[in-house]
Amino acid sequence: MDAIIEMFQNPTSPEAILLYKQVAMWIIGGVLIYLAIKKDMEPTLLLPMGFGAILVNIPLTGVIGEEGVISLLSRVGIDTELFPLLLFIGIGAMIDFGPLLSNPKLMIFGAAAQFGIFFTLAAAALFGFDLKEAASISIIGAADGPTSIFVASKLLDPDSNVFGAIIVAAYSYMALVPIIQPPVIRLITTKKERLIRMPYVQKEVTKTTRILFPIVITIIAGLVSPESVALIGFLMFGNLIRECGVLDSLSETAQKVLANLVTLLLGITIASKMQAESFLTADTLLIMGLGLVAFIFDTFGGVMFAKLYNIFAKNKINPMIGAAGISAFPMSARVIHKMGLKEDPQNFLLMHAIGINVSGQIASVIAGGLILSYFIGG
Amino acid sequence: MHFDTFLETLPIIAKGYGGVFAVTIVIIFMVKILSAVTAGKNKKQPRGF
Repeated sequence: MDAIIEMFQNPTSPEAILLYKQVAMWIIGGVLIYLAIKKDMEPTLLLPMGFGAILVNIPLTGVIGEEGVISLLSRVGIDTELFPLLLFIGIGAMIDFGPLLSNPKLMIFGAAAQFGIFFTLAAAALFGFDLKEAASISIIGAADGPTSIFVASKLLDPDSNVFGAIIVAAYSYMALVPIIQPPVIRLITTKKERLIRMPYVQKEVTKTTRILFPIVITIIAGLVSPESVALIGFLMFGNLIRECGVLDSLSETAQKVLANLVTLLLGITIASKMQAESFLTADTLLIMGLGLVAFIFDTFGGVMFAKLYNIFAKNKINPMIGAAGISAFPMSARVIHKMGLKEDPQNFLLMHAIGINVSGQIASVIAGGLILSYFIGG
Repeated sequence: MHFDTFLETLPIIAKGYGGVFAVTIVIIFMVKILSAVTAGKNKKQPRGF
């Protein structure tokens, strides 16, 4: 308390300025909590992050530092990439690849929608970030929290100033997909294109295909990009638990208990990267801006590829579904479906959009792995 | 503007974005083969998009 009084007695001292920044972080933490509760924006992450941001910015506490509990959780769960990998087991167990497996060529739109990652990589480099920082920032465009954390953890030093901003940007923009995507889609498509109908024909997917799919994907991704094996492997492991049909209790545990437990710890642990002196910088604002660019150009890339496809295709597709290739599952698919219904109440794009949305999950992990392989594997 | 660093990103972008497409195409073919092998090659399926 004496130290705080002393800061007020000398309001321009470095300690006082740090205190002002810490108070600003309390406000930011409060905003995240407000967005989580009042606006229902990714509450599973934003609420723990918001509270954690307040916690780590109370002066002279022991939650951060050599023996601090949040620093310990960060060393154990984020620096080792353990938390995002465990979360991916849960996510894999939640995903139904059926719509994708019944029409596998939809995967190409998932690949196209990773354009934002690579556009942002170039943009971040232009704005003065070094290659590893630019690559870490660009992976915000993966629109996938665990992938962003995994890649950034591998590329950046644990004490890097940009890590916190990257994670906050990734999760915040995932929640803002319903606001970000529609204006971009309307800007680059015509009314006629948005009215293209796409009837859905249910095709049977055998159980054997559903079981072999995660195994085959893991092997292919592992051979092409060994650095992605941890991410894609854990995602597909979760999916295999779901699809095998003999591990219902494990599947349910992965989807609910494991996912919720890791999310709870991850949210508050990310706050270790939100200390005022490293978070409140001009770079943070720039990273938030570049994160938005990544999401916008993911949408742009997916839609434009769909329009390109239509130039050559006999059966045209509604180019809006290209935007579902962003990995924000299942929000993006729902956004596209709603946009389709708004244009034409008889046009049901949901199953096509879901197929592309889940393929975007795979494509974003592959993109992350390929970026890592450039820096680590060679 | 840091054009030197920007130029260094170009091979990453080419390998990365191109690599995503390449891997995706391989996966598409593998899934089609898997589906054909497990479902029976002669079974006719209704064609949609």
